[in-house]
Amino acid sequence: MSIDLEKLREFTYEQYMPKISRVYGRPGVQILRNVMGMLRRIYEHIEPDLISDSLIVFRLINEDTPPVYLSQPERVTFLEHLVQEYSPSTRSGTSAIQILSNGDLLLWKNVTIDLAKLSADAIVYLYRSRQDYFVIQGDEEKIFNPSRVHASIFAISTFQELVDALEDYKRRSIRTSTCQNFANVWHGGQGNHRLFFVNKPEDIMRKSLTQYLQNVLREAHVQPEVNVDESHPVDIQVTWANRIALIEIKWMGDSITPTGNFTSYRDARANEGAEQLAEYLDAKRTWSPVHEVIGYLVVIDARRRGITPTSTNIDRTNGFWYADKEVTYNPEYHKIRPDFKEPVRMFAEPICRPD
Amino acid sequence: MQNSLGNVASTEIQLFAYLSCLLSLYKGQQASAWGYDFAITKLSYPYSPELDQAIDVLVSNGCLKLSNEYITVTEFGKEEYTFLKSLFQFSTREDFIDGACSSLLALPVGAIRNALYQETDIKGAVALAQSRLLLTESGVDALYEQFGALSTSIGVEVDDLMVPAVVWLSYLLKVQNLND
Repeated sequence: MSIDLEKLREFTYEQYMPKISRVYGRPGVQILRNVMGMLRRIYEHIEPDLISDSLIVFRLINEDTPPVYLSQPERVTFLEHLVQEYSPSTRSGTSAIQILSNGDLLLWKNVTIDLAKLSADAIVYLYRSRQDYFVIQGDEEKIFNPSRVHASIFAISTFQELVDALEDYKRRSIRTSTCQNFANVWHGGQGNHRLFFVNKPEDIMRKSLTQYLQNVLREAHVQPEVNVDESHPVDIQVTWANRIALIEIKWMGDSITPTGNFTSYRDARANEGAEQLAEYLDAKRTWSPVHEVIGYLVVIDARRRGITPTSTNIDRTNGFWYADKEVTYNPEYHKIRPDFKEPVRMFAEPICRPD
Repeated sequence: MQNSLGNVASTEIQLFAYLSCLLSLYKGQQASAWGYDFAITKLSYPYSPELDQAIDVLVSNGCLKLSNEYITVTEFGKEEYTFLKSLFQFSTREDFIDGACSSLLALPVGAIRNALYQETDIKGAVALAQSRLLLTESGVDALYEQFGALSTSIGVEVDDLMVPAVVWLSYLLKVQNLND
């Protein structure tokens, strides 16, 4: 990948860090470090996806005295208490948190703040609608977030173990189609009822999981479509120093082709994936003798009961009929092969009509 | 790193040591001045055998504690570190290491790794499944060009090297996102 130097210059000039450095100087960058560190700690206790309006987090550059135009705040000494003081049920409107030099926080709820005025002498972070900003002299500068799953770049959890990451992906991204990449698998778009996949959704699923794992896994190199032998690519390969994980993705449910044809996959498809993965493991071991090789089958499950190609909605009973119905595998590779982990089924919920 | 990640893997120490070395290039230093080389191997990248040995020594003498393949700094290690960074010969290196490790404040470690893997030198060798030295003449030339472009907007004399580190890594991620 060759770098376009002119584009790099333009990109650099527009980034929030160089801007903060230009506008607020060295003290500003020092405060920025403190704000970013605190944001990570705040988001360990507060899920940004549950912030319905806006959250402002700021630290004054030269002092701790709260802005005089704000009302009396709540003081939060222990971050764990923030969950109680800033619970989802009490969040309405914009909330603001001031970071004090001793690490305590001041909290205002349902407040109106002139960000241009505040950012004149403070480093100001703003979160709104799944987007991070730093407000620099009144201008809201977007922060690039490489994750399509996490609402804030400061709220990306990391995992040492792949199995933990897959479990998080299942709950965070697939269950309610939160991942912006994964959301494109649905026929009729994101706002539809999630009854059918688009034709051949595999590429979208692979891209979604690849990008997610690249952001959350520690120590591992995540690559899509890596050959296990001369000609067969596994969906995702995860490489550590001394081991490799092969991830094969299959989906169950129904997809609609552009011509309106219906493709349905059920348990047999998952079993095909298991057999395929077992073959990949054997092939990979031949080509990578110095690595321990482990296989993971990920099954994206969007089975719906009783739908036809002309269905436009579904009730809750039929929509969630398969939510807890596990796949029957035969053979059960995960029980007879030590290098084959238990398959992970991820149920993607529909949007059901009110019963 | 321990403040951001808790315990740290030796491969992560290697990664951030490499990024620290790159930041020394941003400041106009020669790659050879860093004192040890980095390479891509079939097992790990970037990788320095000298750094690997040093980690072993520090674990042996009690500066680092190794538990389940993850490393933490002991109190004795912190005291040693405080002493070493006061020495003149290491004073500038501290800026590079701090700038590299502080990028964790802005980006998750997986994204930092992913960004570094897009760096031309590493990406080319991985694509060809080659084991070879990094920061050879051609690889360094490309980096000097990129850092020259960065410094046009940021300045070479920037106090905090976290700034160019985060901007450069973010750009590599953005380009990768566009290409995917």
